[in-house]
Order: sequence, then C-alpha cells, then structure tokens
Amino acid sequence: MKALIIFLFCSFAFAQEDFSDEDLEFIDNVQSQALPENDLSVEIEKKKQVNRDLIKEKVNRSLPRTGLRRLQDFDPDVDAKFIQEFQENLNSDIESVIQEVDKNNQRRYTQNELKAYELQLKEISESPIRLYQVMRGTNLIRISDNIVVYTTKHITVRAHTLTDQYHNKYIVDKSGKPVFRVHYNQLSSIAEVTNLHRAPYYYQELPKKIKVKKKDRKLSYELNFNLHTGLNSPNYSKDLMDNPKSFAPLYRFEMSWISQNNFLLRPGLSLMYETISGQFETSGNYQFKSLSIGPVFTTKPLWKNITLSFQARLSLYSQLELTKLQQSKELELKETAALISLEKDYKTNSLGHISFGLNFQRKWIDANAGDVILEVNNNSEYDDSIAISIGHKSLWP
Amino acid sequence: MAMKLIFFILLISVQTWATEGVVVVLEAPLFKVPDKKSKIIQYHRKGDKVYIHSQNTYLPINDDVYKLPGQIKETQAFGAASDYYKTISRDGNEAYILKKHVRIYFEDNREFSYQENDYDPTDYRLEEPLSEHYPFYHKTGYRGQVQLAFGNPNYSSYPFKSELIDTEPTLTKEINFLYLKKPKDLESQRFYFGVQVGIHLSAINYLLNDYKAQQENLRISVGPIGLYDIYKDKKNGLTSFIGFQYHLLDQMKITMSDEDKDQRRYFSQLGFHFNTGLNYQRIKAVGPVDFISGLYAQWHLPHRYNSLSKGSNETYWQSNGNDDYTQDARAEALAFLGLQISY
Repeated sequence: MKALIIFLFCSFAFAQEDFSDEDLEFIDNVQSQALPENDLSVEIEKKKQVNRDLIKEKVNRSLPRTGLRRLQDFDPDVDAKFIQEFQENLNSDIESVIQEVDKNNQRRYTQNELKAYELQLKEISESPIRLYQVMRGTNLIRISDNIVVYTTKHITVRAHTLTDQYHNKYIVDKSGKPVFRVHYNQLSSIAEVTNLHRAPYYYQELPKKIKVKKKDRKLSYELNFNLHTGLNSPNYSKDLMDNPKSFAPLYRFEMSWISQNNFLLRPGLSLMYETISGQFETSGNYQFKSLSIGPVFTTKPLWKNITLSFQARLSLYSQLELTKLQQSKELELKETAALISLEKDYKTNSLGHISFGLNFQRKWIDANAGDVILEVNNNSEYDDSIAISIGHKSLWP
Repeated sequence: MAMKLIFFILLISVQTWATEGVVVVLEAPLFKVPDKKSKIIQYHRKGDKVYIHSQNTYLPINDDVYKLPGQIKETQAFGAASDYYKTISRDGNEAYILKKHVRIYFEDNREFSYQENDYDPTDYRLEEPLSEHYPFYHKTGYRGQVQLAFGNPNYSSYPFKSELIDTEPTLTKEINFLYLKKPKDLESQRFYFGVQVGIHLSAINYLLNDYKAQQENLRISVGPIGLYDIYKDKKNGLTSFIGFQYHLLDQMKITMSDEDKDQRRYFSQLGFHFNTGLNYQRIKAVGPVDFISGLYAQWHLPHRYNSLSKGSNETYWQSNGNDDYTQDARAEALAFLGLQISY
C-alpha cells in the first residue's frame, strides 16, 4: 500500500512542471514527515533515481542528433525553461494526433449499419467482374489507405458489377482483390461496344441474302435495221381511193432498239417508215407514206433461233397522195398499226448478225380530208399487209 | 513373315485414319452432339481444316470406289443417313459438324458428286452498301405514277345506215394512276407490282351522207400491273411494264344529228384489255419527283357493245330497241408523259 502511495506521489511529482533538486528534497521532507524513514527510504531513493533517468532518457530522445549538449551537461537551474518548453511541445503533439484520429473517424457507424455494409461488400465481391474503360484524369480512391490517385491516361480495368451504398464500383487487381473504388459514372462498359456480333447460343441458319444491284453501269441492248417488202391489201382505203388494184407493193424501213435481258419478253422501241405505192384499176396511182413509232416486245429464241415479236405503232405522220386524171390530192391520215413477226437470226463472221423475217401487219386508218369529199368504207376499218424482211442486228455494248 | 505382318497391320489401319476436310462456310459451328439445338463448342472459319472421323468416310474396298460418279450409291458407311460428320474440336474433344459446312478430300471419285451451296447460311455479314437509314427501318420500295397519255382513237364505228363520207378523229386522252410496291421476297429487287386505274376519253366525228354523228368513248378501268426496271443509274431509268385492265365502265356515247334534231344513245360493254409498254425516267428531275415519258400499247379482244337506251329514229339506228354492234380485236398505241414518286 505504501509502495503504491509512493508511486502515485512520484508520478504526480514527475508530472509537475518544475523538477529541481529543491523539489525533490521537499518531497523527501514531506515523505519523511508523513512516513517513517526506516524501510521506505531506500525504495524512495531508487524511485527518485528512476524518475531522473526517465526524464533524461526522454530529453535525450527529443534532442536533435546534431545537438552538442546532453542532459547530464545541463545545469538544472539554467535549463528549467527548456524542459518546460519540451513538456508543452509533447502535449501539443498528442493533441494533434488525437485530432487526426478524430478527423479520420468522423462517420461513426451503428452496429446495424456495419452489418449491412459488411453484407453489401460481400455481395459486391461475389458479383461478376467486367471490363471497363477509365478515362484520363479520373480520381480513384485507393482502398488500402484512402488516398486519392488520378489516372494519367485512359486505362482498361476490371471491376465488380455491383456498387456500394455510395454508388462506388470496386476495381480489382490481377488476383481479383479490390484495390480501388470509383464512382460508377466514371466507368464505361466496353463489353457492349466490343461485342458487335454475339454468337448464337444455338445454331440458326440465316436466310438467303438478296443481292441487290441498285445501280447499273451499262445497258445491254441490240439495234436492228430491217428492210421490209411485201404486199398491201387495201380494205379500208378501197372506197377511199375508188377502185384500186387488190394488192400494192409496200416497202418499210424499220429501226428498232431492244433491251437484252434474261426474261421471256424483251421490251424495246420501233420506229418505222412505210411507203405503199399502188395503182388504180382504171388509171392513176396512189402512194401511202407514214412514219410511226411504238413499243415492241420480242421473245427469247423459241426454236432454232427463231423469235416472235409483236408491236403496236402510233403514226407520227401519215399521208395518202392520189393522182388520177392528172389531178392529185393529199389526205392526212391517222393510223394505228399492229405487227406480228417471226425472225430468224444468223451469225456471220463478216457481217455480224443477219436476220430474216416474215410479218403480218394490220393498220387501222382514220382519214381526215378536210374540205375534200370522200367515200369511206363503212364495213372495213383496216388494211392488211404481209411482208418479208431482211436486217442487220448489232449487240451493244 | 514380319513384312507380311507389318503390311497387314498397315492395310487395316489405312481405313481407320481420319480424313481431312475444309470448312466451306463462313463460320461453321461444332456441336457437342449431332443436333442443331445442342451446345456449340467452337466455331471454325472458312478455309479451316478439320479432321473427319473415318466412320463418315470409310468406304469398303471393291464397293463404289471404282464406279463412275453418277453410279455412286450413298451408303451408311459414309454417313448418308446423318447430316453430321464426327470430328474433334481444337481442344481434342469429340464434336460434330454439319456435312454441308465441310468439303471432304475423299481423294476418289466421290469428289465429283460434291455440289457447292449457292448460299452460305452462316454468313452474318451485312450486304454493302447499307441502306440509307441503316440501322433504322424505313418503309421503302413504293412507287406512285401519274401518266397523261395521248394517241389516236381506234375503235369501230357504229354501223351507220347512211354512207360514210369523212371522219374526224380527235386526240385520245388517258390519265392513269399507278400505285406499286416492290415485293421483298423476290431475288431481283427490280420488280414492282401494283394496281393501275385508268380513265380513257376519245371521240371521232363522222360525216355521213344524210347526217352527222359523233362517237365518244369513256372508259374507266382498273387492274394489276407489273413493272421491271431494265436499267437504273443515279439519274436515268428505263422500265417496261405489262398489265391487265378490267373495264369497270366502257361506254360509247353515239350522237346523231342533222340540221334540226339530234339523238344520242349509250352503248356499253364489260371487257378487258392488256397493257404493254416502256418508259424512260429522269430520276429526281424536280425535287423528289421523277419525270417519266414512254409509249404503251393496249391490246383489245373482240367485244360487243350493247345499247343501254332506246332510240326513236329509225333512220339513225339499226334498231330502236335493243341494239348492238361488234368491235374486232385491235390495238391502240399511246405516248405518255408523267410524274413519279419513289420512296
């Protein structure tokens, strides 16, 4: 018990600001008065020495290593002020450490919150790891020491998909250990970008693609130049011309453009100039002249390179000139013609493609004589003709 | 003896060696089991070599090897019943690959019977060029046309009782509306199918010995039509078409008149005609509108016009009661101008 009291007393004495020899003697006096000095005096003396040693050790530790003076060199009276300053500095250091600790523990968790946070972190650690892009200059918080670091370039990282309560994602190192945390909106998922084609889990045949040729570079076509010769049988124009002979020779020059394709019918255009020169039974002669244009459709070769074509033409110009008894008159006509023909094509080395054909034409005529009085056949509205043709065909391009 | 044994062992083992094949599709899957719905283990790209198990390629000696290609009989021995070849994956596991994805180097006459696929069912790549609004879907392949056509009238005159002296045909006028759509499934994307509605107006004036007459034809027709783009570049196009037109109304208004009186009767028929033609297009001539011009022919079958009303003058009509007359088969040719919008 005595030893305890002495210890406390010594501790108290040690904590005092002035540690002079007078004080120590005063303490000795007090102790000698309060307690018998028989068996405790040795112990007290030891304690004093211990206290002195402790003070000396602490002062030596706090002295700069470059210092020349040591405690044993001090004169206690002269250096009392120095010891007082040392004690003040020691107390201020402790306070700053406490403040630093408080600063780092501003947020205090309840037990429930700690448990919830623990569970949350556990779930995050079990969540899948994905690749993310971290942009340059992003602040990352290092988990080990809560130090903020920032990235100096774009980097690709692996991070857990789940976020914590502050919406932070946890970036992991190669071993899968979380090393940084960062707010989720600082990470960009690159999995969606890189996965342009995701292979099907099950095999599925793709439908046949339609290859669309939107623009053509060339147009394949054939040009035909045909000469027709044959006979025309005037039916409608019989009354118009007053007793012509039953047949009149005809000549046509046809120029046609026909596209080339793989279909059964090949469309084209036909331009035809036609003349029919005939005579009347009595005397005099007549002549038809017409220029007509119309669409033509030609089949692919049906048999032995023979093609069938049909066309309808609209007259651009048509005229009938009658010469009778040294008098002549001209009639303007409007015609619509339909022609059907069979043509056979021969390929020659010197002249290219030569075609021969046989055709039949029916021509519907409307005559407008103006002031001239005519007699128009009530019963027939067309003239028929049959002709053969020879022509040259060239393929382009 | 030892040589004979070695030779015998080699002879047997020849038939157990795996055969090599080459992947002929862009991305051939390796299945875990011979089933299309089974798990895909790996993929092989076009041109990769794969090992085919000999159970698929084994052919007994003296069987089909020496036959001509046309005489080869597919046997169970080289897996005729199955769609799969047995193979191994890159990590050495057993896998199955579709037969049509592989061409095997049989090194015998079976290679003659190989038929190349006309399309690759694994080719996921998009065709270039991509559509204008890709990847967003826009309705395309529609086309609308308005045609204004002119030509010479060509139809039979009423069998007048009086002698015909002169005719005065007027210009035939037709207006056609076409609405067309491009079918998606057709291999060629140049066909358009749609509907055409046409209104035809024409007239011929007749001068007869005793009176005058006028025949006016009003025809409203509707029917399907098909177009095919023969040629198409950025600014020009050439299209042919063929169609069938049913006459909703084909009315012939015949008016007889002399100095002091006139009378008209209506005749009609229900018939049809065919359209064939060709047009040139100047694409986007005015803003989004194309300018078109062309020629077409109408092919009419013979038909009979029946009177809709009764006549009262026997000098004009063959019959004042039910009257009719026949028109022979004939053709009409017309030239047209028009506008077109495509989207």
